[in-house]
Amino acid sequence: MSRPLQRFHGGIHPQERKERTRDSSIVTISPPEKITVILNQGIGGTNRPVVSVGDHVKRGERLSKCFNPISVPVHSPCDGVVSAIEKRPFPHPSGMNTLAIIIQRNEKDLTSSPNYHDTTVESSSRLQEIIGGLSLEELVSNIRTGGVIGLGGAGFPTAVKIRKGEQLPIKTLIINGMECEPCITCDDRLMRERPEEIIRGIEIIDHLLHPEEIMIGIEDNKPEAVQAMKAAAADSRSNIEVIAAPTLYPSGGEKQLIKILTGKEVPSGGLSYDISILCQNVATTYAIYHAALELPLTQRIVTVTGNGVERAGNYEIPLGTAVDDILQLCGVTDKDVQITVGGPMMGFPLHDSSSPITKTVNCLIVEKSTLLQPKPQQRSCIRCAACSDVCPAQLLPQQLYWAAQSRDFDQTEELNLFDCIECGCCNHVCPSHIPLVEYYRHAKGVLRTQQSEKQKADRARNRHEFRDARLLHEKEEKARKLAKKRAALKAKGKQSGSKGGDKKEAIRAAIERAKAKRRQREE
Amino acid sequence: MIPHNRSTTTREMGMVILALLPGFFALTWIFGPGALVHAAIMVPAAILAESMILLIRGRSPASTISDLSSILTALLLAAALPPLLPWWMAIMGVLFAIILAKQLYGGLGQNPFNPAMVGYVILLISFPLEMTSWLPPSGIEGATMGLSQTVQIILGIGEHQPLDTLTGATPLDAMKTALDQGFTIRESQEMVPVGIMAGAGWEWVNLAFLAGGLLLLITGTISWQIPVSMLVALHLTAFFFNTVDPANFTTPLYHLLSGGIMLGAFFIATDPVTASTTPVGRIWFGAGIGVLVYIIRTWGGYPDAVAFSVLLMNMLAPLIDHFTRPAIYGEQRGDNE
Ligand code: SF4
Ligand code: SF4
Repeated sequence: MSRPLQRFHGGIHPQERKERTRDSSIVTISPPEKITVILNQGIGGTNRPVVSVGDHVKRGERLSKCFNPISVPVHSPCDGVVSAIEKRPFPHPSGMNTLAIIIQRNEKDLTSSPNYHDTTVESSSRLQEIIGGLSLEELVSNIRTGGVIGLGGAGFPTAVKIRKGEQLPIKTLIINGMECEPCITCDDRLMRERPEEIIRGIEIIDHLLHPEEIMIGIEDNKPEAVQAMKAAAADSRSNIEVIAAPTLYPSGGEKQLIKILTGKEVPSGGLSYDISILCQNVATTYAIYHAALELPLTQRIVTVTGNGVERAGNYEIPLGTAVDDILQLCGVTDKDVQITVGGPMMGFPLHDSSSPITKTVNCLIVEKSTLLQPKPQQRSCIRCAACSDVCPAQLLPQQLYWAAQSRDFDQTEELNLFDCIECGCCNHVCPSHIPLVEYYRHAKGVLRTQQSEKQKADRARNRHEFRDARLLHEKEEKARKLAKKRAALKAKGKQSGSKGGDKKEAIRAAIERAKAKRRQREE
Repeated sequence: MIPHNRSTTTREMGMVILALLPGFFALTWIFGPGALVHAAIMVPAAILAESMILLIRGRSPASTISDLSSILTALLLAAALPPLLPWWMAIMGVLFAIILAKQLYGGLGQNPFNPAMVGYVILLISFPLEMTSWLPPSGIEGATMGLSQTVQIILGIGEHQPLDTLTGATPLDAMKTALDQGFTIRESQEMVPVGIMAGAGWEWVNLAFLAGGLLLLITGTISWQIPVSMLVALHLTAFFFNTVDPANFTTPLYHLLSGGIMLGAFFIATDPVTASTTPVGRIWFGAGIGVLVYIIRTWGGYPDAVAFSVLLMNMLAPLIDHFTRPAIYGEQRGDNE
């Protein structure tokens, strides 16, 4: 069973800080009175509401439809009434507002909403029967309309990934249970408590893509999860290998995990498909199982921790629950707290605590502002190269930093800025405490805008050129038609001779008249 | 946002300063307290010079000085100067190092050349005689010059013997002169004070700096590539010539334990700001210094060559970095499929 594992370049061992929540069972919380469902979660961004204010909605009802294949719809996590559709703050580094559907929960609904997990898990063979009755197309469509996106953080629509996998043969399916970020334990708990559902989800992908091998990678700091997944995998019809990999941040990065398990590297600028590999996070796989049974994604497990929280733990939260509601539930009394969305390495500060939980939020770290360590003073880069020693993408962070700092963005691209996975390892080790990742995010932002502006300009230019060409073409066409007409007329005139002659006569007469008039005026 | 680990620039510089202690101790033991007196003069001068420039540039001196880099520069230069060099020359060196070589380029991290070595080379070119006049290694006989006399000589006050009756050429220098005059190694060695392994006294100084350097390696303050490649390159080059013609070329061990080799290998060439930054680049960088030291020592016009070699390789560091840029993830394996 044991396969030789590889090591990726660099990586660090940040403090894990998982002790506080790793042994807290998942607690399902019921929907609060008000639910704020953000329309566009994950990438894509073309959702339009299909309900209007005053409409009654049921739990699991689709609230939106989307106009391009890479966005997925959202659903109501409870029975209730749409009370507003308006812009609301949401968890995003930019701190901006976006369109949301606000639902007032039915009073009675509280008890009637079944939790997905309460329904018994289908056995491997029973699941085969169910999905065997569906066409592959129907199955993928269920996953898409079920609103499943990558729950590990990237938010990439799962159905798109699977469709892509159907086109190119996928040889290796990798299920990512590494959870390498400090503080986060939601995937750990999911694997320990609900391994069967994850395995069923894997069976569905197996059924769709028929990979040659299936691996689940789990960091070896989660032995219980490894045990649970091994036990569940043993009962599966699919041949699934559960692998405990050494703990090293960021082993859960897709490219790093692929390197660890297969020794292969995704080509620079490419995707895992390019080497016939598909990666899915465990929570996503769990959601796939439910979506295939037509239970759309309306809740997720979130780790809530930090020194500002009294009852830290792993909570299964209806999507759309305000962070404020969660803080209350977890016993956050101090109002003066700073909240981080995601882990301490890759997370971002939450600007507004009325923001709701969205599909990609896996962790909330609540820290008392009074206990926050003062930001260490930033000093000059001493080119010690500690950053390049730990960079898992094998970049040269300090050179990237120099380029980004001097706004030489072409150079940053030259230095493979876009291969930076923003893991923060370089930041972590920098003795001069330079917030390197901030510089990279900024540079990426600038380059992306430049690119999209260039695209726009290109498009405009294309349009312009096309228009010119079209006008020219039309002109030529006109001229040709005219010439044709004239030729036809001439031929006609030659035939009849009268009409054309009349016209010419009339014109000559008019010219004569005008000349006479001018002479008169001159005299 | 992202938690930093506990390593800080200040802490690393502090560690380097700590690791200099054995070297200073050995210098004092062998050559008297000159190096300490110089350090006492040069550290305040460095801080003053840096503060002045920072004030002119409108920055806060306190926060920058606390990175300890200017203090380290002053100490490195103090360790390299002849023990009785007049005070104003020492200060001049430190001013050149801090103002010309560091601050004029924009401060820590921006300077292409190692500041201490720039200061050293300018002094060496301006005052070749004073810069090559070393005290005899009297510590070996247990009789070094006292502190008050040292201070008097350095400050040029009070009554003391004329400098040139006290000092002489370093063994490396004397050896070179002898060899240049056509004597063989064996003959030269009789004219030069020789210790157990290399030039008398110098071997202990070098061993002390080596000890400090090992401390830096163990604590992970510096990486192994530069010192190891530099020492190995010097050793191999010396070994080659010594094997081919033992009568005219000294042994590798003699080279390794003479002059400023250990100070250079562990404390100066490893200055991250001016060295190569890629792992493979660091090896080339160190090896380059090692070979250059040998060439300049053997055929050049100056007896010791660490400073020149370091500066020459500083110049090449960006080029080396460019050609040794490591393959990024996803670039190195053509055999992916
Ligand atoms: S770790 Fe920090 S100080 Fe060191 S080279 Fe990288 S950016 Fe510069
Ligand atoms: S954030 Fe980017 S540059 Fe820094 S270590 Fe991670 S991948 Fe490398």
